[in-house]
Amino acid sequence: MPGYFREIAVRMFAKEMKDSDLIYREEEEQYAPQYVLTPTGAKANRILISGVLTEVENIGSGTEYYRARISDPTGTFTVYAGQYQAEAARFLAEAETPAFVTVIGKVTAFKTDDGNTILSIRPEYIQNADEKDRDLWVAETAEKTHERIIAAETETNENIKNALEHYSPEFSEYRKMIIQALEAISSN
Amino acid sequence: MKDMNETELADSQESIHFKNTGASDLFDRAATIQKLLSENGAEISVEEIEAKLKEMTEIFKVPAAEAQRSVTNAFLKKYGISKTKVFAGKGSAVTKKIAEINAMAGMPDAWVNFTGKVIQIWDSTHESIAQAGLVGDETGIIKFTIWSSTEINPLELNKTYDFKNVVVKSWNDKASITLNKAATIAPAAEEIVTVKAGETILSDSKDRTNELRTVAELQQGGIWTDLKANIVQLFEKTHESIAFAGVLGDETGTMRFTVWKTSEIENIEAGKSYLLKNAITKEWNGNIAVEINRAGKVEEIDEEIVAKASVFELCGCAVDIQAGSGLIRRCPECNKVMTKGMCTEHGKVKGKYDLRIKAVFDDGSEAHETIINCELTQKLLNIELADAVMMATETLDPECINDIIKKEFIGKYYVVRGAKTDRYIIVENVERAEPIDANRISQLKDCLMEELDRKNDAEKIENGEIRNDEIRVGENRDIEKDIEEMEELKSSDFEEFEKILNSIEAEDEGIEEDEEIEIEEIKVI
Repeated sequence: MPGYFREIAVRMFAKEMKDSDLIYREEEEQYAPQYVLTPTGAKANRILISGVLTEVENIGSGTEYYRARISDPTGTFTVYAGQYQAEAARFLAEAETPAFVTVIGKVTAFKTDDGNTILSIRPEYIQNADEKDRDLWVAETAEKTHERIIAAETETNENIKNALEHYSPEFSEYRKMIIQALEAISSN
Repeated sequence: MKDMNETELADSQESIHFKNTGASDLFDRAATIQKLLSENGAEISVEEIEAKLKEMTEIFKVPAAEAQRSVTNAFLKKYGISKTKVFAGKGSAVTKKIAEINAMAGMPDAWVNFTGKVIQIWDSTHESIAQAGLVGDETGIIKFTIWSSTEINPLELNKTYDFKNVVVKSWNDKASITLNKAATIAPAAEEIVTVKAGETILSDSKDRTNELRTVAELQQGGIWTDLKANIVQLFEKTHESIAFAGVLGDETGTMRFTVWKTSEIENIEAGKSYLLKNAITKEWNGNIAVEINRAGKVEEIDEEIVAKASVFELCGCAVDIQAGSGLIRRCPECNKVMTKGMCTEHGKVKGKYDLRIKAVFDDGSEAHETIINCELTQKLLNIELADAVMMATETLDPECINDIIKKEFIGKYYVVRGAKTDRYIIVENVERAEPIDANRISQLKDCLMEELDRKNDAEKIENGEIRNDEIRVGENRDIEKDIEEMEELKSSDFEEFEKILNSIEAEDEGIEEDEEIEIEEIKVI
């Protein structure tokens, strides 16, 4: 097992991902894993999301390259899959919308010309899910996000310090986001 | 890794060698090579060597030093001369005492010569290690390792040898001796009689007496102990020098164990209880395991030890199905999983089919690696092993079962139960997670609402919208109740009101005083 370590799949809502733009690598190398540090102090390389596939578009010229939108109760994630994510691309090519899907993937960052950082997900897996799994994901993500907020308010470590410094986050906003997500799944 | 280090060392010596030649033209360089080859029994004319060098430098435009290096190595290879041996002599091995070698800890690898007496030989933990143990002289002791790649005859216990061209390595701020191809060992002319023993010297006798400890008491490596335990699980054989490995436990916990072949223990069965004598604990990757080596004994006992169940349960999402899942083949000899029709130990064999799932379940805090055995896999997939073999044959795709597994598991939430080993959870039961509990959601929501309220209040106080004490009164249920009671008393009588308030205050103060006294008393004690 020496040297082996699997990145956990961080749970975060679409809004938190949308608000995130602090990207860094722990090492200088080109292939060192890239992380995003979110406003609540989550350090994510791999993430797990579950939501509704709302739109799939083949934006490749020549080759197939798919852009998909996946919604959770707080916003929308963007997923890109091309030839190096063959299985995911095949799934998206055949997928119907809307449908419950779960995605396990890596966070990737794109810098626009005007200096904005846009995050998307490069899927390792994308699969059909059911409502039950989506609800479980929302509940779990709510709990994990809440835990992060409490930690950011009461503790301190490198990630929290950097997140607070970079975002000066308004945690009540994220609390409201969690409540919003929980209400979405408790209403049925 | 080890071989690479050897090569690196040889390379570094080589470059020193080439730099030191001081050769200014190709003829000088050719003469140097000729001399080196001649010393090693290969007679080649300087002209032939020079021609080669010319070809390298003039046609291929290789720098002279690089040309010299590559021509030298080409000739060495052609005449079957060991590169390491040739260059090791050119390094600067210095003769030192063991205490001096120990003082080299933390420094870069270096070559030394020394004379030492073998005071302990350990069981080989890896096939690439021929021998390991401790050597000592009158100044101290040091660990040595002899790689299998060397042709050094096995060292004998209590004999004194001259060690030449050995490498001093530093690991965890401790120096040790490594013997690679360049090293030579010869019996020493004079025997070392007294060895300065450090604390690390351990008895190698089967008759030493140890304390009988429990699993829970074995929390660090290097403890010699006796232990009564039940064999919870035996692993598939992992290595030819290991007789038995698995998990054992007593009422205080479970841990991994390894019984080396050198212990000459022939029979250990899962489910039975044993007394382990002269076992030693080892720390490995932060986990403590217990080992039985040549000094150890294992005796079956009538007493039934019940291992503390180390059942591990988690609820998480299946995020990956690892390679080696689905339909696999095992070597009929050693039961190891084969890759591409080959057993790593027995080569090309006709494997027997097996079905398993290596799934990763992620609970948001940790990614748990699990192994689901054939029986459970058949049940989960609703596919019998024989059917799986047929499906693979029909589709000509042994991976087809893997695809089914991925489709079935990935992205779904499961409750997984099993025995946790150091890396994998050996799954006993796996079920789809129950739908989300409405209470769990409403509780979290309430908690968040309350936190928001508190924050709002705090902001309002800051903005001067409400007064601090208003909130305190509101939150303090007792005072609220008192006020209600007072109202019930129809206390338009203000005096009555104040009396009650005063009495409450007095009570509060009384309590505080009592507390202070207690604190003081504690201080006195």
